[in-house]
Amino acid sequence: MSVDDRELALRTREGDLGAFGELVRRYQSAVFNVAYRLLGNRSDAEDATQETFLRAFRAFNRFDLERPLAPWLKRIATNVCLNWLESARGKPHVTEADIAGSAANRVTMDSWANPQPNPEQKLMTAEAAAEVRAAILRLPAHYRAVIELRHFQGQSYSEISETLGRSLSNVKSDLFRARRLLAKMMKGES
Amino acid sequence: MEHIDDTTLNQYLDSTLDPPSHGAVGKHLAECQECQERLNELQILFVTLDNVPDVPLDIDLSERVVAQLRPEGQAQRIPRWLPLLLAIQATAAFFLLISAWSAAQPMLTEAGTLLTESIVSSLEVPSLDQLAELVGSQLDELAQQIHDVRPEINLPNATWLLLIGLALVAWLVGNGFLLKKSENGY
Repeated sequence: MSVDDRELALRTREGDLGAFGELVRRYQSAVFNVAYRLLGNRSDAEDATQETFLRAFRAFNRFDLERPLAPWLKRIATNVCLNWLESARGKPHVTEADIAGSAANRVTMDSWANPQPNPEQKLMTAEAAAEVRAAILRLPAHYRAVIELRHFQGQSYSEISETLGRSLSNVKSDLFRARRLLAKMMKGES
Repeated sequence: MEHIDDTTLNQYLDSTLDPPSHGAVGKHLAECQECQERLNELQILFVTLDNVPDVPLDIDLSERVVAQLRPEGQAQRIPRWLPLLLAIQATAAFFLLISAWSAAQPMLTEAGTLLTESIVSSLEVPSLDQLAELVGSQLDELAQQIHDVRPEINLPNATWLLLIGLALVAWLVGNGFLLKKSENGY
């Protein structure tokens, strides 16, 4: 944890809400993006982001200040979103405004996965990004979670297992199946 | 040729295979086009996921979060001066007790002696009326002695009232009554 964050965290533990507000400002974007990837719409993602920070505040005394704050917050956000999805029976409320891409604009992954994209490919990247998000949202909740934790939060198999409270073998099989499904969806196969 | 299963291929890309297995998979991939194509698909997926950009958060949620936490934060926060006030109260009460005990001890000793002598001198069991009279007279005597040794502090009545009022406020604050939140959270 950076010196600044540590100072804010210590003041938060003493009940300084101003210090916690500053931590929220620093990490709200990262937490919001976790929620947006898992829930698919801004309104739900904003609510989940608020809930994440409320839970974090209540658990702050148990947090090890020697560890970085961002991964901890993102883990809380993942679990908040999973609870959300389970309570909503896993049906995402995805609006048209949230998904810019469509079947007509679908691009093959390798056309913009080029490390030296030309301007046209950069434009397509935004649409391709929307396609990727839409594909992730079509996955079942627990598959979305493992993709989020592995590919967007960089967690190891055992860390994912701990975060989700699932066995290592289940985590691996979920992750590998999720990847296979995603690859098929993005190739245009249903 | 036996192809690489999905689990092994994924673990190969995740770099979680032990070195001998990793080497064996690498060798197979160099010779098997089908497995190489499956690997390529996975690699493209990985790169795709790695390149999904963040979306901007258009609003500042910190105010909302803090507003929801405010009653909790206030309830948790103890004023820094409160422990000091409690310590002063405890110290003052201790010294008051010591002073009162020092002043009262001779009187209590004498009262106890008088009571004992009264009981010993009365060999017959006194009646209830006599006993009540005896106890009453001893208490009267004790009260008079306390009155006689009471320190003479000449202050106007208004000042006495002010001091008593300040002591009461200090006691209430020290015991947190004035700090308890009202029902509306303020």
